[in-house]
Amino acid sequence: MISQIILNGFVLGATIALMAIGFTLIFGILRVVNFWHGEAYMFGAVLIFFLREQHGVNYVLAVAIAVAAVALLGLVSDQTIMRRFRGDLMGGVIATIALYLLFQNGMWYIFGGRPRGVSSVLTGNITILGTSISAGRLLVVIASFIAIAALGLFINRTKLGKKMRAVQQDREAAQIQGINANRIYGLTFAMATGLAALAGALIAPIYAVTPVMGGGPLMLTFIVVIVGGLGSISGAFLASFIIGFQQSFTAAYWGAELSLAVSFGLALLILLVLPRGLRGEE
Amino acid sequence: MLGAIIAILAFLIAFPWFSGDYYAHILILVFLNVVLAVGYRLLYVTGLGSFCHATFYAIGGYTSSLLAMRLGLPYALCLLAAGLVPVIFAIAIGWPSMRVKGAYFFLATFAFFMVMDSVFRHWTSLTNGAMGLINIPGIAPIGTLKPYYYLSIGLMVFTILIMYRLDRSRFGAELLAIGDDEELAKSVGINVAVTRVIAFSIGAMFAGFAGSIYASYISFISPASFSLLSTIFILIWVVIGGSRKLWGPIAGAVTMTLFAELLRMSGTLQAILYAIVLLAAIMLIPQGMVGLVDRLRERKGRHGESDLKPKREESARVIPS
Repeated sequence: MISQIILNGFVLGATIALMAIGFTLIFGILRVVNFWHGEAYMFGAVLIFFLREQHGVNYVLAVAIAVAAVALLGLVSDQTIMRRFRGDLMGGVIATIALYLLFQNGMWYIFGGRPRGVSSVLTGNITILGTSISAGRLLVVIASFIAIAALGLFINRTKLGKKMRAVQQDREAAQIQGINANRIYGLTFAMATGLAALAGALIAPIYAVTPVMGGGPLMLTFIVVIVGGLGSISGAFLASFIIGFQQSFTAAYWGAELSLAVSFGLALLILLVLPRGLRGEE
Repeated sequence: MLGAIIAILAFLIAFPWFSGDYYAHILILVFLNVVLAVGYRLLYVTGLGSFCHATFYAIGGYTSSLLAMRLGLPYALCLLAAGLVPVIFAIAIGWPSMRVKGAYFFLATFAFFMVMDSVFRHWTSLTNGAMGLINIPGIAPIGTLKPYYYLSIGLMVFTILIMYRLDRSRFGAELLAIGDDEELAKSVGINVAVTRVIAFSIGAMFAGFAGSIYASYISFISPASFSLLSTIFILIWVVIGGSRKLWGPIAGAVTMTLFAELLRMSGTLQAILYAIVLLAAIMLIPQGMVGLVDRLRERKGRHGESDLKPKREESARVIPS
């Protein structure tokens, strides 16, 4: 039983990590709290449903399309809307809230409230360390890790990644060096929303798809970036698993709703002891 | 100016006698929302935006209702307590949170909101959980409107007067100074943390009063009455209205509340329309209505405040981080 809980925590941690890393990137580089991050996740899942269930598209291709589409949406929203709020935290918050309301209600209108299912990609169970995990959920963990590793390599080893880090450290200094900050912002937003969509796309075959499915992950994302520190990828990664395990344990013993409250309480306590979270920079 | 205000007040006081209950009801909500908005503004002008104002509204509502229902206290005492209890919470959460900067403060108060929401939902022996409290007594039998109308307009006028005096006091100057340049404010001897906690607490107190009136007017509250959306709305009113001047949040609360009610008549697409209008508003007037008026004044060549102070485009809105 315990090992099942641990495994659940692992899966949750991996999924949330995809969202939290993107969210913290957006904050670290653009100084924006992206309230529609949960909707990016939801779009990923909805697109998978649409492509796979209604058009029979192959899963891997569907994931690629979903991620690309949401990333494009992120890019466009940044270049057209968020552009006006560079440096304006509250204005940016209102804008992302407006987009959240728009996307959420728009999808509700189009999709309806009835949960839809996406057929599983892999079936069967695999036994690890004496516990059985469904192949589908194992796929989620593996795919997440691959994506996160790829992101890490990109940020740390490529020139573009270096530019992103430069902008995060000091925007003006980066611009003096010839870096086009605006392009970096667009790229960051696209990557982050794409990652969120990936999380949703991976989850779609496992859980039901509804227009409101982004709410829970968004809450957990907030908690994780508070704990991990805004702007820190390693912090987000670490905190995702801390929160993932915590959620899994408290949900098993106390139920799901209290579990969220415990997470928030934990985040609050950590914040008051470590005002910048575990690894936050500023 | 004063004449116009008196005329408007006279109109509002006479309003329920000819308008019918529906419109008077909407105005009660408007009045309470104005109280919330100007209360929120107090901390906001120092550069810190909280995300838990609706929690103080809720704490006030629950405090007042529980004292009335469980202890049978007269309403005046319930109202008073509804203002004081949120202050305790504001100090408890505000004081340690002064260590955290801008966006962290925003998220920390958000976490506080979520924790309290859970408390309201799960401490069923106290709050009756998600089912809420019904038949809450107040100053008049359940279902009457006019007494609450005058009570809420009274609270609104009282709140605005207090805020008006505060704005023109040394305290108000200190708040604006902190919002303009925190380090500079510290260097002239302003105790930033204490001042902010005081602002936070005063805002919480008025939210509590409003919560008490709301609860006894509607006679029913539940955790759903004080959802995430309500706290988002408060933020919207203050930002769209503009926080620099006192009339900003008032205008924001009035227009956005009325707009939301107007949409209610058009049915299912209301939220989408609201979102579009909100997006347009924040993009066209990021400095809010106050900023818009200032810009118009500048163009006409009249001497607005912007003549004397440096360009506020970036500074008034950026929360120092």
